[in-house]
Amino acid sequence: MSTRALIGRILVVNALLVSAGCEETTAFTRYECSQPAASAIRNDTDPTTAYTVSDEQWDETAVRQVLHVFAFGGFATDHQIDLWAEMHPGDAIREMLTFDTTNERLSPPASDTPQIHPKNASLRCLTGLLSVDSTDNPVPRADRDAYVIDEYDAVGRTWILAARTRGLNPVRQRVGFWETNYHLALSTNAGVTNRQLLNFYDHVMTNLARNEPYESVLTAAALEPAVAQQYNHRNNAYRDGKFFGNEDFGREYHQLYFGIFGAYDDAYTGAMADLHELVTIPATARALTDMVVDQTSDASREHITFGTAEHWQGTLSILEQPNNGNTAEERLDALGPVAIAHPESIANLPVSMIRQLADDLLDPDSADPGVAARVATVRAIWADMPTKNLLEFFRKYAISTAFHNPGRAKLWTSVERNLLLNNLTSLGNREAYRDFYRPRDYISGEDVNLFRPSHDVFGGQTGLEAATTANVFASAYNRSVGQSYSITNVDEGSWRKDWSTAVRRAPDGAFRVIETAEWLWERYNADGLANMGNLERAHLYALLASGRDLGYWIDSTAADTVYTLDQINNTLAIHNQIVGAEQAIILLDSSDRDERQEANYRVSLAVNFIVATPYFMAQQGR
Amino acid sequence: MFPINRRNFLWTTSAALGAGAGLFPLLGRVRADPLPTAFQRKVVNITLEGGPDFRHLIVPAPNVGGGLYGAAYWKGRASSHYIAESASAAASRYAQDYLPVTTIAGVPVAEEFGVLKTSAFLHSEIVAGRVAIMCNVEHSNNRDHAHSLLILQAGDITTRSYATDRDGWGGRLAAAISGNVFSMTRQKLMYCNLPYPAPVGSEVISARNTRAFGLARSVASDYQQGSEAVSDRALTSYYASLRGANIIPESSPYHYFVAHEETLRGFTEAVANRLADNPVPASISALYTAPNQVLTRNGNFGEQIRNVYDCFACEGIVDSHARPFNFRVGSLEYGGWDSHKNQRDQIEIQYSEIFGDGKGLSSLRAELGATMPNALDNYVVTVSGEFGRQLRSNGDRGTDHGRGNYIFILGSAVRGGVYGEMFPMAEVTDLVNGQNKYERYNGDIEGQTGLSHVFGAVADWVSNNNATGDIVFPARATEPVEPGATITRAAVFTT
Repeated sequence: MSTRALIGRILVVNALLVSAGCEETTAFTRYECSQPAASAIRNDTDPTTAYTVSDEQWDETAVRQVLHVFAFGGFATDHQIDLWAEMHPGDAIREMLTFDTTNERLSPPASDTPQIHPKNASLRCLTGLLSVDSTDNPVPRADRDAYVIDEYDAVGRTWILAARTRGLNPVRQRVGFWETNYHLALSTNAGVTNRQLLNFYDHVMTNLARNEPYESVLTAAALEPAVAQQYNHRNNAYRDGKFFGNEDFGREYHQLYFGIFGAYDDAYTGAMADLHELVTIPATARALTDMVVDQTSDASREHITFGTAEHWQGTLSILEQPNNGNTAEERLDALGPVAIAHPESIANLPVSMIRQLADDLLDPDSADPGVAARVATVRAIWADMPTKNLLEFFRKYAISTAFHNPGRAKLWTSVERNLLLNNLTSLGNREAYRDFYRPRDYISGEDVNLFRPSHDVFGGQTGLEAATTANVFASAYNRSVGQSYSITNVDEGSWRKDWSTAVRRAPDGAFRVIETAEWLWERYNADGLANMGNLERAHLYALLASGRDLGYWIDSTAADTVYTLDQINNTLAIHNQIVGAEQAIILLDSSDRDERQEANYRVSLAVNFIVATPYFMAQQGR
Repeated sequence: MFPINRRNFLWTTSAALGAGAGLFPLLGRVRADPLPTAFQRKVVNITLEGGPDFRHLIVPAPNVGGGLYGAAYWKGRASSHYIAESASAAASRYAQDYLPVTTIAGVPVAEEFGVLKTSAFLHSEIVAGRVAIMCNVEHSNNRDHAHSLLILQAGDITTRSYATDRDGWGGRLAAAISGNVFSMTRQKLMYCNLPYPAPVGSEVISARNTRAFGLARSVASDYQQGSEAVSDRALTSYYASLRGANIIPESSPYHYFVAHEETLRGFTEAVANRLADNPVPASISALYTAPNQVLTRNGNFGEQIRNVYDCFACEGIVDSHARPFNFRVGSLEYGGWDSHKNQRDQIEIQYSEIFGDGKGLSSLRAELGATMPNALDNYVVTVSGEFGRQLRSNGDRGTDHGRGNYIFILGSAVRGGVYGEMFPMAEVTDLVNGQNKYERYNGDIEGQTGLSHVFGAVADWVSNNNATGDIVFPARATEPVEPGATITRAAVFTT
């Protein structure tokens, strides 16, 4: 029995237990999910390739760039980041990028909330855990019901809390979100239920964490009830010698899952890929017959039955290969290896994946030799893997010259930017559980909805859309003006912000303006300070040294004055005031409470400024 | 003790997170500014993502083609109309759910056709002679949504499948006439993209929410040490210096954001001032305002209609650098047209929200007519999707992807009519293995007219220059036009 089949059967049994009311819901800290998350299988394959960057290029900034792209920033300590930077990139990346539910180096558990057991860390289990009505649940009582499994947007709420919870693996959530909202996108707007979607997410990530070949992961995904619900091929049937159904997923299985568009047709002339359109797509639609998803209840919709009575009989021709099977499951099991090895898939799939995840400008048709070189590298990394393994691919890419390349630009989507802001700003889990930085609200305010992709099965907002839509920029900018309090608040009830636990100290042990400014800039922008010029320094020094803006700091009677870069560089009084602030001390470790809070406010004010600069809206490779 | 005013924070938060009041009251500099009375010509383009089945919106009367075509259509499309394969069922469906068109601008049509009753505004506009129905337009040489959308928005069938950052025809048109493109949608569409390098005098301006347009300012002097005031001054000053120093080149990925800041800041106050004394007309706000929201499927389309209205209202304003608002091209969208299953349930309500009486386009025309009547002669609306559907309905009460489709052009300046053969007889007379296109698998509308001709005529009209279309659509000279059809500015427009 395949791993996929085994996992599927275990989950069916567990689902029956759940529906029978066996879920343990007594307390957050004693919670035992009835469908525990499966453990990962270690992948120790050496990710080093001919395209791996040198040890010299692999530095702190390189590590941070990877974490920003693949882990929503992650929660690693500066010490851990330094350790990774000192390691050979191949060794470091194996510790950084994993698909298990937890990764203690990347995301150490927080001390301010109870630790989540790895077995409770599947998305589905988290809906149960976070909605537990017990005094030890760190989720505020008023918010818990929103996580109940069938509640509106419970999937989105649960996911976005998981993605910012210390102790859980943000890489898993980053890749899980990409798979379910971009590559293999589904939408609760299309009738997919929360349970179907949670199962889909967890099954995909479980299969990835168990190092299943990627074609097996995709095949298992394609056979999920959620997919049959989304595309409605659950109604595809073969009756009385006739096919009834639609060809929607018959097309998108090839295009979206595997990157096969139909250009393989020898007769393709630009008019129409006849072989793909006339043979492969209808045949695939027929392969998807008799996949019954009982619509009786939410629980019944979690299961799919692969029948034979209304399944297409006989051999089908798909991708110019014979396809046989008694059920849809058997046919897709046979088709997956054919699809993943198809030349179009080999060429397109790695490019589309990296374009969505890490390099918005990766265009295989580009005449730019730099772009062409990155495309070639991405394709070579994928093609050179005898067995396609997604984790291995991401690791190899993340330490490659295609990623660490000045031509690469990752334009943050609203989800990515808001989660980066949250994860780099929060210093414990309490800030996440109490939703201080409200990423879901701000993402929604930028017209993006989790698990309801704006382009339906073609995925959510792209980085290019986010970057070129001025309204998205305005939302981010306006937050730092009209709602700066949402970032600069350092005192809420019994909670106090304590940047002293994170900010890098100067060699003398003090928190000084220059070190703090540079540390913040690197933490949020990960550019090796390349874009932190005198203009940026002037503004940040003013905020950190005085808690005031540059204009007010220089002349409080003319606070609206705009100081040009030339004035900052060449007007002696101004220049001296700025340089003089470099060594000012920020009293983050003062014994005086008011002084500490003022110091924390200034640091947060600097954060509020940084996240509204252009350099926090995108990441340029190095 | 921190200089934070909590009441002010809460107010601005609720405003920016969707309460609708916007950030303008923070400005405190509002003055009366009446609605304009003169307008430049403009095009409002609506992209229907998903492949809209216009052959469902507009259907042949059962007797079309001497009955041959009508019978083939209604039999082949029976399941997607949820009816039996019988002449009586077809006749009943047509009579009950479609409004017949027998004349256009008083002239009898060659063949009667019907328009969904729930799209009554479209019907009345067609009958009044204010709709050009462009038939058999070649949309795509593939049936891939993403690629075909790029082709549509570029107006160029040679567009590559990864070319998401190329220029769109709206952007090219704006550049050709030194106008601005206004993106009314949640995410900017490629249609808006200007040619690269960006031309002087044209910009893409985000008008996603005209009632909360631009960048927030914090002004109250007693808060001048609060985090809002500090951050406002810091960021305003920083971006001004950044632009002045020209530190970020146009080729940088960070340039997008500097450009946005400059554009938004320039128009923030002028837009606020113009709109402050000119509220959204009730019939338009009703489209998207709970609890009795008129557009129940897609309230955002109502917001886009509001944005269009407001951009008309802003005609003539200038930004802080005296650059004109210059609304010449607008970009709207309405998604959700991939009707593989249960087509009637999915798309008929959507058509009604665009074309129904008292709905999107109807409300826009009515309110413009009431408040800015001179606008009516100076805008056209184009409505199109990335491809059409296959002619035979599938086995899931829907239709699968096709290629060719119709395009609609609406407006007072339009010479209403049918351009091309609305229901090509070849679809039912050219048989393969004894089957017509409504019987055999994979048959679709054959594209016979290039996008460049349809949109090129619009470009000529908007610019009042018959050469503009050739600039915006270089392939116009070589792309085909359906035999017998004339698609030029002179043919399609009355002015």
